[in-house]
Amino acid sequence: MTVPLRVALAGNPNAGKTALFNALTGASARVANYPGTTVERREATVLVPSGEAVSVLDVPGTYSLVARSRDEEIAHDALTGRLGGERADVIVSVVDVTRLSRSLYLTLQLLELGRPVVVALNLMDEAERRGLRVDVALLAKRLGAPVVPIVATEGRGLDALLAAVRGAAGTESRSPQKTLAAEDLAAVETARAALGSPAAPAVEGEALFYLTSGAGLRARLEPSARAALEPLGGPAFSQRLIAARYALIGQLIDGVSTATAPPGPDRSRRIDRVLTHPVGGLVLFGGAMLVLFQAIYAWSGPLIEGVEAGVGAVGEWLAARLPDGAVKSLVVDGLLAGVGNVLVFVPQLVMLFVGIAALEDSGYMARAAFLLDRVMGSVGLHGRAFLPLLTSFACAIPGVAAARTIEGRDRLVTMLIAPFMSCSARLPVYTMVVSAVFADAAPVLGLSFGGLVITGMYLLGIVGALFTAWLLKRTALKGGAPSFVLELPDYRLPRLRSVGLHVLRQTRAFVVQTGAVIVLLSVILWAAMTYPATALPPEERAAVEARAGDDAEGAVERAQAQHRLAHSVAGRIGHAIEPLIEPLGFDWRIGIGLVGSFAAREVLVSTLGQVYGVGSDVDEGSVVLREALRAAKTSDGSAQAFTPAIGLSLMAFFSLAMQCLSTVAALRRESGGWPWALASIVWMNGLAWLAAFATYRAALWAGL
Amino acid sequence: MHLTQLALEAPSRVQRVTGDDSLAERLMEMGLVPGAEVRLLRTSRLGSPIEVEVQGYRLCLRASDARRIEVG
Repeated sequence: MTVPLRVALAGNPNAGKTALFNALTGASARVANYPGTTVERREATVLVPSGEAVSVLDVPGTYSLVARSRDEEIAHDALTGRLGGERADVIVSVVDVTRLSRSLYLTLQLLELGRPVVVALNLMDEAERRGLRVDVALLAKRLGAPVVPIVATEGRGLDALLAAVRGAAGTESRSPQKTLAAEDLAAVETARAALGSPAAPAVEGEALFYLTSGAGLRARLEPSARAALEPLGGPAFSQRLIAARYALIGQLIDGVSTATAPPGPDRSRRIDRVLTHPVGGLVLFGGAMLVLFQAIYAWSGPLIEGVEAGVGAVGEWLAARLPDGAVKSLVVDGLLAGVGNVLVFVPQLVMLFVGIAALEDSGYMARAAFLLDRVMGSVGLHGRAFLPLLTSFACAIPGVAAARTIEGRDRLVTMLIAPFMSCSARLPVYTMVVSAVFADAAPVLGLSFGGLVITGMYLLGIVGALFTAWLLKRTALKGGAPSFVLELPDYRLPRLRSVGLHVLRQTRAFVVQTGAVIVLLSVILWAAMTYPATALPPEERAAVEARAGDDAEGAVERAQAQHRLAHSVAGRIGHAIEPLIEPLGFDWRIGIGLVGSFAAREVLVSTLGQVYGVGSDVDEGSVVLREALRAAKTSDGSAQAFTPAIGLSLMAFFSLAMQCLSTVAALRRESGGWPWALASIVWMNGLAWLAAFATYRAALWAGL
Repeated sequence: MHLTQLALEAPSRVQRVTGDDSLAERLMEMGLVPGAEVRLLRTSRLGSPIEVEVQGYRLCLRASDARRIEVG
């Protein structure tokens, strides 16, 4: 089989690049991240009508190839083959015909790379609607490259585009001549010779890339080339170059695009008058978020129950067929529980991805960022950080995923603070503690004391998030409020196919990549809570039987489970970390709960149920567990083991701690590796320890 | 005079973008080059961000960034 033709799609955000990619490849694309980055790499190999195989790479959307941000650097490197394999045989420059001059800026840079370029003139239907007539042949002649009109969302013009791509393979491109001062032209020639050789100089694009990029990028050059480039380029050169490119674009499009009718009323501007109205816009935004969270939180409920019921049914089916013993326990309590932990997130994620895709495709996301930029900017975040943080009140996993709509390092800041938002898994813990220790507390100003405490925990999480963002923006991820130079795209009706493909790809990537880690970690945790298996000593067994009377069998079973857990690896860890958590008021029993809650926070409730000997079938409202917690004595039997001070301390810890393996797995995937995921564990748990310590001491001081 | 001081909807031309950092380059690459026609379409209630039209499309900027664009 011959090597498929490699085609790279490049274009501005919103130019329809992804629509073209979808139209060419359908659902077959593989989604991965570029190594060590948060930038998604989409690639697919398809058979074109002639039977030939073509591999299509979707390059990150960018306005320019100058490497000012990591994303732009990746776009450049992906096109030139510095990143992840071979360079493209043909570059398709996707151009929004309704924004011709701005779109051609990137096209000029692509032509400078010397690779064959085919211009896909997208949104021709929109141009017709606006009465724009475009002289395609004239534009092609002036650019010196084939230009093919297409409507990507409807799949129009694709055959002609593919034919042009095949025809262009193997040719060379040359950018139309810009008007630059003699000294700048000389600098470009010097750089070309230094980057290649005097006999075979590097292409113009390569020279311009290094002349306009920061010093950091030049570090990857050979010392001799670096020295030759040292006195060249710089900010003033960059600005002259940008102006020269735009001057050239002015000449190129002169007479190419003509209005055949006077421009009608701008539909998008009319919609904006309502949607970004200072008051009405915020109200509508609130409404949109309400619907989204209803979907994530409530409408996914039946689906989640369905998943849980399905996993439970499979568990019972397996349990009935496998012989009792270690294998059965591993499969049912370890593996299947792990798979369940992955699948249970899928309904919420699907709802979120549908919502985000619809908001993005319609063009509304840019307006929401416009509305909220002032608020988010005050803590150094981008207007777009709002949605991921709000989402994280339901669950940090979709929250971390929602940060994808943000660019660069601000995406990382947003992902790292998202898990501070009190997610729905923390609520059972808050509820359990409050009902155990504050059930009889007098209302304050007519408000339930427990409710106030829980509100305080939500606020504590928000404070932790803002503090962390503030700190990150001043240290590791330094940089002022991210520049907010945001294009307002025209409103478009989201396409069902586009939204569907987006949701399918994102969900598949989550299940495959994050899911594998979650399952693995769940199995490890199961082993820690199960082994070594120890039997209840006969004398204790007899004592339990004597005490229990009627329900001897159940009591012995519970005592056996309690004994086994206490002497398991997790139990031993609980004992071992007792000195560490003692300052927070916790004993080893809560220690086991903490270890167990790393699978998922709400597991604390059932783990404490086991540790305190009421069985594992308890929920946060359980009267039995509440009574058991209140009755529990310290190891020497002298004092109450679970006081209000300890309860507050425990809640403060849960509010800030990173205890969710699934979130860690999501962070690892989204941040492109372990370092940030591990840093997040250390930082959040350290902060949680300090907060719990301060809370415990303050509560003791207050006499609680 | 800079961009935020323009009357709403009044056409004007970019004179220059001040500063030599990456933001200046970013603004120019988005089409705010000397000579380009630009209109202020809207300022949000708190004065930032603002919305402008340039190169036939609409762009949001923070007021603090827009002050670096001299027009006339």
